[in-house]
Amino acid sequence: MNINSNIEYRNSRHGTIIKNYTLRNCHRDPDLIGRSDPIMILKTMGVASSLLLLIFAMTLFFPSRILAQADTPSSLSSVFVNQLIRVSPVLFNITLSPGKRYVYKIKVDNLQISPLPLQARMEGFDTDDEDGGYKEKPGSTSPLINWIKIGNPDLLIPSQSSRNLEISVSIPDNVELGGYYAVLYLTPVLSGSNNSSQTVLPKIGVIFLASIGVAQNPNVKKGEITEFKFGKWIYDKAPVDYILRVKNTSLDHFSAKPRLFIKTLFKDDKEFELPEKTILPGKIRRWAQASLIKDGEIGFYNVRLLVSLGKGMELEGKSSFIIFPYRHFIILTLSLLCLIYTVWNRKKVLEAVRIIVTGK
Amino acid sequence: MKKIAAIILVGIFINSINKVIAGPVSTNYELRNYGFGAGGTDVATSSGTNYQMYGIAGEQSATQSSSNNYKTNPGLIFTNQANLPPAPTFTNPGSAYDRLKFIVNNGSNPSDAKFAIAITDDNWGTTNYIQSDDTIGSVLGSEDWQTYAGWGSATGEYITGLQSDTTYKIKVKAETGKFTETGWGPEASTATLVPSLIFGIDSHKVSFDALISENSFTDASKQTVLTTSTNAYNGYSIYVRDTGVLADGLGNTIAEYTSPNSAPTVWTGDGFGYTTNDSNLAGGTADRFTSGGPKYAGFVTSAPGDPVADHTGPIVESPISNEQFTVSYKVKAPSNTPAGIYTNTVIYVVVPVY
Repeated sequence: MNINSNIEYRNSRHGTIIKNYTLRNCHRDPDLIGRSDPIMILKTMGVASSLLLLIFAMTLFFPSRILAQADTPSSLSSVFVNQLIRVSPVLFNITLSPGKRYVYKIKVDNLQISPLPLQARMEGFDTDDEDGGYKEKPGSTSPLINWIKIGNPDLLIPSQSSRNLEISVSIPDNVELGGYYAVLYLTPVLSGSNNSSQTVLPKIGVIFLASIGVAQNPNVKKGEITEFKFGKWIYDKAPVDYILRVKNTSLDHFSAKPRLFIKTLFKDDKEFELPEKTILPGKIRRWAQASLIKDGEIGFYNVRLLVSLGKGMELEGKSSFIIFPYRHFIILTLSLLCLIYTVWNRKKVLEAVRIIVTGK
Repeated sequence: MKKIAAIILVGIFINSINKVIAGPVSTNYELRNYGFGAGGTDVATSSGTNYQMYGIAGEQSATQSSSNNYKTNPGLIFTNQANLPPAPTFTNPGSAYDRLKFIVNNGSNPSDAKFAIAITDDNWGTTNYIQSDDTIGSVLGSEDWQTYAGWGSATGEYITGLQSDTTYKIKVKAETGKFTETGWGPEASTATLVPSLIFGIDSHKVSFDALISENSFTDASKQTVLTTSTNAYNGYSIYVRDTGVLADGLGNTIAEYTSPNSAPTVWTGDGFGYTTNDSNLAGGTADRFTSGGPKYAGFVTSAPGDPVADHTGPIVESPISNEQFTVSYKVKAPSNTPAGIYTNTVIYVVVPVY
């Protein structure tokens, strides 16, 4: 005999009503009528709780995991990265001679799962500012572009494979000495555009820094320090900031590596190496730092600057600054003077206070 | 009788002493012939192998003996020398193409000992020296002898100005004063790599929502994610420009947003512009797009464009790997813009910073 699930199961011993049970092939026990089993309640509640907990965990884990991937594509693993290209070398710093021919290879890797058609084109470039930004120059004004021939300017790179781009540089016999600069752009060629969307195009630039036949006269400096100073001559406390500008007065580029030697009484000397930067002919590069010394102690600091230009050539500069809590010193001094005056003229001060307080 | 016994005993004693002091001896070995300074003479054993023993007792000697793997430096001259520096540590932690890191091994020399470092890229066919400014020179000057602290102590320093894709070797010698200079110690080698750059974008198509009155003719939900990896010492810069205003091909356009990259603004009015999540961007105030933002700027068409993302150097200890920046777009068309499909091309240019 089957009993519907709404029947009440009554236990004569415990007297607790439990509902919603389906009992099959059972017989009614007259002794159980009107009573229920707390143990069964607990068991029922425990099973139900476990089920609910499991369902909750599933809803918490799986759907939110999917949502996170869709909503926050912030890591590489969760972002589909298209147009992935590796280029090496991406920077050429070369010395050339008139009348000679040079051959270089640039390896281009297609890291995608689809073939990649690629175009290679040369453009001239110049530096834009003191921070190394650059701007393109029209090709006709950069002779290096005319000397460079790209053996295979249009490439088709199969998926997840690489190809070499052959670059030959032929220098004329008669050419002015100095630096020549250009950039080689590698641009993917996209399939037919979709008129309903905006196109986004990536380009990788390979920088060419070439120097032709510039003799190094050790007596002639290639550059000069146009500015080297600290933000203030006296600091209340650290940090200490500085600015440095170096100009290239030669015909070709060089890499400048500044070092600061900071001397102070009763303390060990400190040396700071600043980032190395390439300076193009006639251009200025800037170094600036807002927190050179973060925990400087009181004292007078003498700073010697050495800018290495390579092959033993250096530029030298000097500056100095003081770290002294002058604000606190001034306040303390004024307070002390007031105290001394008060003590020295205590009778007058007390009289004045009395008059102020009493009004007489 | 007593005298005779005493004489016999003395003789026995002397004989035994002679036997005892014939040479230094252990359970299995005896030095049969040895001397100080230049050392003893070869003594052949029954097995046919010769041995010599060298020592020092204040005698001058510049004689060395050596085998394939070992060399002895006996005599006062060698004793006065500084300790021979062991092989230095020579690595390329940043996968660099123009610099390598070295750490001098002090070799238990005193703190005022000075060290010189030789370097080669052709297995000592040509020998150059690391200069005091960590560049390479052909001459070893007095200023190029530096103390352990001068060479960066346990932190080490970087040799700069090297050729890419080249294997270099270095070795060190030491001195602690006049006439104390050692020979060159054992060498260490490592190689520079090639400067490389990997660049990718998440999609080369961006489709804006239909600009209708319900959304105030505005869509600010589209973006491009830029991913870059490089070992360029001074990092990289990414510039953006477009090929012109959004146009439908029938002469109707949506103008560029008016604020420039150097001074982006919180969005007002109409136009097509962009913002970036790079809070340390060159070309103006570093966080000009993110501070109080997002702030927007309009595209330019002149090459290479305006900076939208960068990571400036120096990149020393480890290369940049899979760094991502997000450029978000916003377009708001005037309500009287003729219906149509407006498109253009946005170009991102990435270059290494020199």
